[in-house]
Amino acid sequence: MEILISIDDTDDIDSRGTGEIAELIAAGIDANGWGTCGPVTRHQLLIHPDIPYTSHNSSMCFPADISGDMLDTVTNYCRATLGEESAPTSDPGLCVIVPERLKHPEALIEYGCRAKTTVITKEEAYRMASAHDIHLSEHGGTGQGVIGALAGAGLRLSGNDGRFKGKFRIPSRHGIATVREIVRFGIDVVQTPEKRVLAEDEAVFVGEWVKLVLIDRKTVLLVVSTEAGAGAAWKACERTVFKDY
Amino acid sequence: MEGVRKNGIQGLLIMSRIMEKNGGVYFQGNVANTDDLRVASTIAETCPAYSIDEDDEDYCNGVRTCFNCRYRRWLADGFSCARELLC
Repeated sequence: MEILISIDDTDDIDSRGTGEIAELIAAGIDANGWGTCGPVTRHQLLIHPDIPYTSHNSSMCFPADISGDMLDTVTNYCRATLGEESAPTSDPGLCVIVPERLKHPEALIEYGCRAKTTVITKEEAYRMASAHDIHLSEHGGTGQGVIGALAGAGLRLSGNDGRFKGKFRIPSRHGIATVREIVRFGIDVVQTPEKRVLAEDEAVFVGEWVKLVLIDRKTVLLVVSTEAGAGAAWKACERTVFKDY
Repeated sequence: MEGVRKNGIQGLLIMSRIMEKNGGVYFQGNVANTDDLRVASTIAETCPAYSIDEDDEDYCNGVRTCFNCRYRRWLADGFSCARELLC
């Protein structure tokens, strides 16, 4: 069965980031043979003076395909790893959900979306988790990370938020590849931010690597048009664009 | 540690972006704005604490600018410096 594992507030200004710890947990699940993990996505939450955060206020989430009898083992492993690897001054939170067991997934998605626009309390997060039988736990400090951890799970569940951690290298000729080649690499869709989907034979300047975002439950490469004579009609979006994802 | 104040035109440009709020100071600007990016690069040029953030938080292709520094703390309309070097 598929589960989603989401963490938040594991770092301080000088420690490694929450994304790295998410990847560490995913690697541990894979290495122990408990399941197969998917890529980590980063979900931007509200930036607000009343919200304590290190520097970005983003949570990290990834899916794992495990057998049903491994749920407790995997959850306990996540808890232990968060306790060991989080920065001493951080306020880590962990959320584990089993999407197929959620009776009202839309409630969790709505919570996640709300965490992008409003200040949410820890008590509200726990109430939501309890009402929907979701694992939510804190692992040090104030435990404020539970708010973002729950939101990260909801946003990943929505399939319409966040960007994938890391850079993706696409085989190309002088930095240019067709959509057909890009899709063969494992990317689902190549489209503009306005959702204009490119055809298979259109050429895109992908450079040495690209960043990917999660839209409509798909792995998406965002592109913008280039000026005439650039060698391709399209190019992968600049990094500044990803700040909005 | 000494801050990043500069003299002349550069100093004026920097000060035009430095705002005060709740007893602290912050840089008001947007990473997508070329002018803001240039001013933040001027600050970072000589900042003694500058340290590029992890790759996933780099919005300017490795350019040395406060927008890319691991010590910038994003705010709704800019960033503050965790090392308190904006002054």
